[in-house]
This record gives sequence, structure tokens and C-alpha cells, in this order.
Amino acid sequence: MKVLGISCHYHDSAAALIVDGVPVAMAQEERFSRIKHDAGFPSRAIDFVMKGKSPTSPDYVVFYEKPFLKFERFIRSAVSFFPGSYGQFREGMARYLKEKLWIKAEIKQKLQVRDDQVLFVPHHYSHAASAFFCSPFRESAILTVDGAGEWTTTAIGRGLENRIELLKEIRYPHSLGLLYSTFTAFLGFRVNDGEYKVMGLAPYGKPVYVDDVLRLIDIREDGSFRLNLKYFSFHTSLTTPYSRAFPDLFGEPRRPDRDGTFDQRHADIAASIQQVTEDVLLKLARTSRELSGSKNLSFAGGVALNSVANFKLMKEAGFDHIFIQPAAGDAGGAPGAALYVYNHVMKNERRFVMDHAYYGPGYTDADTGAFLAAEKILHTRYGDDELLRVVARKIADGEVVGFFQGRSEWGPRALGNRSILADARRPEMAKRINETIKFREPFRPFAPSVLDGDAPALFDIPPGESPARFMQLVCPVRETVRKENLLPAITHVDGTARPHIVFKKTSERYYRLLQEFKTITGIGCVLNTSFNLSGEPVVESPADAYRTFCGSGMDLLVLNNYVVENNGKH
Amino acid sequence: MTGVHKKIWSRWLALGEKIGDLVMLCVLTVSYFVLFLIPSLYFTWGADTVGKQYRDGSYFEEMPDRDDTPREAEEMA
Repeated sequence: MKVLGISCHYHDSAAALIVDGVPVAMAQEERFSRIKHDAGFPSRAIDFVMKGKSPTSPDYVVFYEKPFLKFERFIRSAVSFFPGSYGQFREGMARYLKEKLWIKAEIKQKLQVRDDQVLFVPHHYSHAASAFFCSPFRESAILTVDGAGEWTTTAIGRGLENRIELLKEIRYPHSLGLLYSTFTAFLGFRVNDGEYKVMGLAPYGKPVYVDDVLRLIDIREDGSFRLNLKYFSFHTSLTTPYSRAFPDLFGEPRRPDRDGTFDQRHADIAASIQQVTEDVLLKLARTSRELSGSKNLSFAGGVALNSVANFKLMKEAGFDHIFIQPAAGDAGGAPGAALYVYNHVMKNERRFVMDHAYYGPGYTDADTGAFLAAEKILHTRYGDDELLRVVARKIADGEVVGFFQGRSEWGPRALGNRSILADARRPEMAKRINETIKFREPFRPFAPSVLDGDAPALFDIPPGESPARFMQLVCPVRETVRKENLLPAITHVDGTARPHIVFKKTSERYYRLLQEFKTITGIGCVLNTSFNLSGEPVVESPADAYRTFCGSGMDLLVLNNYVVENNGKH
Repeated sequence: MTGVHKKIWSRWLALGEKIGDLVMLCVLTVSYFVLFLIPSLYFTWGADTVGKQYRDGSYFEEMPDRDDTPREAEEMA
């Protein structure tokens, strides 16, 4: 049975093909359209996932939310906040009338499927399924937290075998995701994009505004909460999510054009909202543990990408194992919806555990060679062993390498197949990559990739199934490593890092590269950041990779077994 | 169709789109203020409204039961 999952028309459109309960291809539209967070119908992603397996139609196409329920929320909200909601109603209604309400017709027309082949799964069930049905757990507590689905913004429940049950919810407009996004906008970053920048800014500050943040949100002991809407306008305005009362508490907002510079006040505000978010998540996680009685947690929704909070959950929420799917945000709704239908609705046994993220398009050596020849790009081709030795040596010598191989990663993190790699031991490397390669804010930290066997010696990663498999966990760098300043380029200002643990079973070639690097340097750990420039999606094809290589200060480009040096730049 | 015809046709299309957007704006504005006024009064003073619940104890709400049949999954609501 082939089930195609689709998410679109909000942000991060994606498509995922599930064949007999196993995802065979998943991709976000942005990788093909080159528009970051592309929200349009994922035609190109669908083309990719369907051609990858079979040209025939899917048995079912599943959309990741219930459009009419969401429309009901939109209308009721507009009525409830009348007349302040006029602007939002006018803009939102036009979008609903033009596209969102016709998603079923759009799917039927574009995919040539029958009416009864198009199914819809509630937004938070899609999130829940994207975590639980990809996890290695037979039973699990489930926590989903995001901006908003139809009505639900937060849900807790449990999963058992092929069943998911969501028990309690918090409803719009009370939303932890929207609270965090409001601060994201206030701090001058783009909503649904800059949240991780707020997280990155937080370690530079002290949480001195926590009491003020707590005037915005009333938190109960079980983690449930409500927002004080006096301070918000996301329910009435399409442009500014905070009201005029908000700056009375926090001062003037940071101007969006102040790229890279921030005051201590901004960092303090970031630290404060981060702390409150962590506290709420911890309480929610504990409640989900009590309700489910499980020692496993499946966590999803955009807020699950808060890798700093995830460490707190691993340490303090009382779970032995936590699973977070790499695309925990709305893109993850695509495989989630499809898996929910296959497992829960159709009552099929589970046949899948996600232990890697390489579900995107891949390019053979022949494709890459043809591209290089067509573009007349100077290059050298190496055999596998020699290539890895050469690249490891170049990294150890201080060169910055664009590393492109195999199928692209599912989700926002680069996990060794579309990565920029550098020597994490060199203190100057973070500044150099931020300034001359990625062109982004100087406070933005970098993550390491580390051999699984070396990770415990370098980082304080809690035992058990860990989100660090998909780079979803910020944890302390071991004190000995910090004292000797062994990994300065990836150690954050607060002594933490966001490691990506590399396993031989799932990333063999990348694992061998780290082994070669360890042979040379004694450390099985490199700096790994996504292969893109600031504001662009991660590269997808060799052409994207080459264009990015030429537009940045990288020293070396590796395309499968081909190496392009700096003198090969056009 | 020649290049000149195409150009003229695309201008008409663009104009039509602008007029359509304007008509939609007018319809939406009128419907918003006419249709929503009375329900909003009801919701403001007559019933529990979106985002205005105050209560003791937990803010959690019980999630509705789901049949979880293919038939239900066909529903958009």
C-alpha cells in the first residue's frame, strides 16, 4: 500500500511517500524551489517522492490537517476579536477563498486521484504520529507543542503499538509556540524562521525578565497555561504579533535591520523567554509521563526543535528515552499524516523505526561527473578511501569543506550529506565561517559531528535513545574538554554544544571520514554546519552546491567522489 | 496568437485580477462588519469566547473522541 503524505499552505511544505508502512522518500518543497520555508503546494517534492519508487498513483493521499476545522477556528476567532480582527480577516479570508479551502480539489486535480482516496488527519495527530510511529518505542508518552494546528496548540497523550490517543489539549490562542514566536518578532527575527536565533542568543543573556514574561503567561503546575492576550496581537494582526502593551514591559523592539548586533537587553529577553519555555515544557512532559505511565517520550511540533529545552527534558522529566523526529515542525506532518493513516486508521502493524534522515534525492557519481563536465569545472576524482583521507587532511589543515554525498537529509539539520565541515579545534573557525562563508550573525553557534564512541567522552549526553542522533539536543561539553579548550569552534559561550552523533550503521562514509580525521588529530569530531548561505535553503543538487561554493569563502567542494578546489570556482 | 495579442490579453487578465481582488475586498469588508457584529456581541457578552476562558485549576481541555475510520478521515472537518 502506497500512502502519500502532504503538508502545505502554512510553512515548510513537504511530501512523504510511505510504502507498506515504511517511508521511502521524503522532501521539503524548499529544497527544489529554493524558497526558504516554501509554503506552496509541494508539486516538486511530490514529483520526487513518487518517481523515487513507482510512477503509479498512491492508494491514499493524506493531508496533514483538517482544513474546515482550521477555517472554523479562523472565523470564530475573527468574530470573537471583532472589530480588531478586520485586517486579519480580510487577508486571511482571501487566502482561504483562493487556496486553503480547495485543497481537496487541488490534490485530486494535480494527482489524478479519486475523492475517497484523499484523507485528512488533524494537525496534532499528524505531529504525534510523526514522532511515535517513527520512534523505536512500542509504547510511549506523546507530547506535541507548536504554534497552532486547527484549534490545538499543545496536546499530550500516549501511543501503544499502532494506536495513538491524544487525551488533553490546550487550544488557540493560548500557544507556547506563538509566545516564543512573538519574542522572535520582538527581537527582530522572522517568525517561523528566527526562533533558533533567539535560542542561540539566549546564552549571552541572563534571565532577568522572567517575572515580566510571567505576566504574559499564566502557568499551572501541570504545565497547562493561558496567555494574557492584552500583550499580543497575533490573533488580530498579520504583521505584528505583539500589542502596544508589550514594549511597556520589555522596552523598544529590536529593529530587524540591525543584522548581527544586539544589546545586553535583547540577550536578557531571549534568555528569559527561553527559561520560561523550558519550564513549561518540563511541566508538560512530566504531566504526559504521569498520564501515560511510560518511560519513553515521543515529542513533536515546532517547539520540539528547541534543542536547549530538549536537554532539560532528557535530564529532568523522568524519561529514559526521548525520540524527536528530524523534521519535528510542520514538514513532519507529511510523513506523520501518512503513517497515522497506515498504522492507526488502517490498523496495520508498525514496520518502521527512523534511525537516519537520508530520505531526500540522491545523485550518482555519473550525474555529478556529467554536471562538472557540462559546466567545464576543474575537478579531481578519487576512490573512496583516498577521498576520505584527502578530505580529512584538508579539514585538519584548516580548510573549510563543502561536503555533498548521497541522499539529502530530511529536516532542517545537515547530518553529513549536505554539510559544511571544518576543524572544530581551531578557535578562529566559527568567526571565519560566520563572516566569510555563511554571512550570518556573529553570535550564531556551530554544531559538531562526533563518532558515537567518542561522544560520551566529549559531551555530557544523557544515556538512552537520544535526540542527538538528529542534532536535536544541546548538552554541556565535558569540563575537561572545556578546560583544555579542545573544541573552541563548537563550544557555545555557556559551555554547551549541539552534537550530532554519527553511527557507522546509518552514515558509514561520513563515519569513516571522522575516523580518518581522528587518525590525524586524535579527535573524532568536526564542525558541521548546513551547506547553505544565510537565508537560503540547504543545497539539494550538485548545481546548488557548486553555486553556494562559488558564492562563499569555502576552500574545497566535495561532490560524491569528485573534489573541486578553490581554483575551480567560476 | 501573436506576441501583440498575447501582450494585450495578459494586460486584460492583470486588470481583471485587480478588479476581482477589489470586488473581493469590498465583499469581505461588508460581510465582516455586517455579519460579524451581532455574533460578536453574543460571544462577547453571551458565551464563553475564544481565548477568554478564566478558570481555577488546569487549563487543559479533554480532547474529543475520534472514530478513526477511513470514513472519518475523508472528512475535512
